[in-house]
Amino acid sequence: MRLWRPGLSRIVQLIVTLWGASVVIWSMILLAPGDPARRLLIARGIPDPLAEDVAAARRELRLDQPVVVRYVRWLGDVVRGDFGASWRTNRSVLSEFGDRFGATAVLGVATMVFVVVFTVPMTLIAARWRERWPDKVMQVGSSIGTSLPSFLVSLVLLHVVVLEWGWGQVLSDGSVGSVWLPASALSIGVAATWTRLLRGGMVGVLDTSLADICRSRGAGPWRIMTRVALPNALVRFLPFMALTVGALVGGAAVVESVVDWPGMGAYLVDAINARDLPVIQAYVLLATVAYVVTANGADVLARRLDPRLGIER
Amino acid sequence: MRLGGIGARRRTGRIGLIVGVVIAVLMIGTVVIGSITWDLSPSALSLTKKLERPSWQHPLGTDSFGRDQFARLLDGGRRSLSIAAVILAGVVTISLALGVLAGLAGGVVDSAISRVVDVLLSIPSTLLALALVGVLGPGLVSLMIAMITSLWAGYTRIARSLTIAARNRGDVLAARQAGRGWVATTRGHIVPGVVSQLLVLATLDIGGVLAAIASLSFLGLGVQSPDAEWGSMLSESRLFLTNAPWLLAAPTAAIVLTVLAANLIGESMHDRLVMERTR
Repeated sequence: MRLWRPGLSRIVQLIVTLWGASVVIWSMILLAPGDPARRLLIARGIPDPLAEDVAAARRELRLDQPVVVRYVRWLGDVVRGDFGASWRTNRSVLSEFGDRFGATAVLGVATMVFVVVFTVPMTLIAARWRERWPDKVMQVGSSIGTSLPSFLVSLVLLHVVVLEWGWGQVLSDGSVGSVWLPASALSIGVAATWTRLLRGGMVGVLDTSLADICRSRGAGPWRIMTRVALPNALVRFLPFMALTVGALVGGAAVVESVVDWPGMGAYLVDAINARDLPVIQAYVLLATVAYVVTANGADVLARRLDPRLGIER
Repeated sequence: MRLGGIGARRRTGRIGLIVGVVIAVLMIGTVVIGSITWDLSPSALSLTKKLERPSWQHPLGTDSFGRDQFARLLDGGRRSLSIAAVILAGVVTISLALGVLAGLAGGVVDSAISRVVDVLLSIPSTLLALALVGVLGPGLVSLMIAMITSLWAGYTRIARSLTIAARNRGDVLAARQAGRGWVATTRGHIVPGVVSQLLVLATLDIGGVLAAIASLSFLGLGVQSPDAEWGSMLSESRLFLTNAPWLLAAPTAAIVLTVLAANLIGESMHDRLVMERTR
């Protein structure tokens, strides 16, 4: 039997979806109320522009051309890696992102480390003593965890732990030393969701005859948990991990902005407040590409690891 | 062993439901009774009463403009809950119409709707909402449009697959053979089932929607001052939180308890539905 492989059709479908997303994301500029040329000038700090400034801005934005032409030329630029220039600074959006990518990468990696370090032991304990008190405590904890908006957690951490108790530093400089605050704010919700899903998956594996066979051959509970339940549950859990990427690109923007983390997310919120459309479009487009690629990658990987997943569909 | 497991799971589910309902009743009761009996205005400024500690006159203290924090909390709660209700009602209505249409019509209509749904689902939804508010400009209407746009696609996909599953169900075929038209059959046999499932999904999402409204308002993108909202109350008093911790405590507790209650109720309804389906 041949293993399932990511075929041409999947890649074509992926490209069509991304193209559709590019249409939606570009069209947002048409939804913006008011004259884009004036918005551009306001973003550059010219609230009362002269008529010739507006005319120049119109040419710069290609507003004199038909909508379709404008979209196609924008797409052409984007495919070649040119996302245009920020309306505020007139610098290329990509170099603006480049300056801030490091801080966001530190935050993303720290968040994932927190999530994994918390989730795996907690789930093993919960599934090992399922329906007993460790499991129930964990279920209550995960209900509470999913109910804590990340902006609120970061705000409370900042004001109570840092300002009241004097732990840590107020200034977020994007370094590893101060990443614990935004990373814990972001990881609580993710960890709560992961714990719940992974526990469900492991309990599902433990209910199969596979676990009974292992037990009858003398495997201890921990061996079954770590060698049978966890790996099997992880494979099915892979696609949910990709969903996390989608949740994080939005959540990171909010949390970074609350604690002034010098990353791309806080920059996006600044751009939103200033209506800096090229920056908004580029961020959403890049995040969509990252999300779609990870989601498809996780799907392909899961089917590679467990060929049954391909047959069920 | 397995039966015991399900029984136990049900009991914890029921406890979650009870806790959720109790919190929800207390919160809604406070908002309703408070709105009737609490006669201090949420927007009356008083420069002599800035940042007062909680007292009998102002049980939750006053903010930096001397406004009564309890009145603002009540006003904000009413506002958040009605915004969430409008958003979810909009989402359910749109997805019901499009999903049932796609599921019944098939062909070009179905693929057109499904493609749009696929595309929207490929854009991370919190980010889509954030970006749309940014493009449309901050404000209540933008907030609602942005949230509905970022949510309807997932619901529509589910409404469509439920409709397709119902299309060849016995009662639908019987109604058709008895001579009822498609419109009457859809209304009588397909829509009720789809609606009830969409409503369960909406209950599951109330917590997330409330959290999103608070987050966006906190960032200054949703409800605008002087209108009160729990998230915007926190952002208005951010500079004073160190001297006036009560301004942090009350809205935080309100947001967490409301989202928790909504999540607990939504989860247990969802669990019950899943269990009925698997039975």
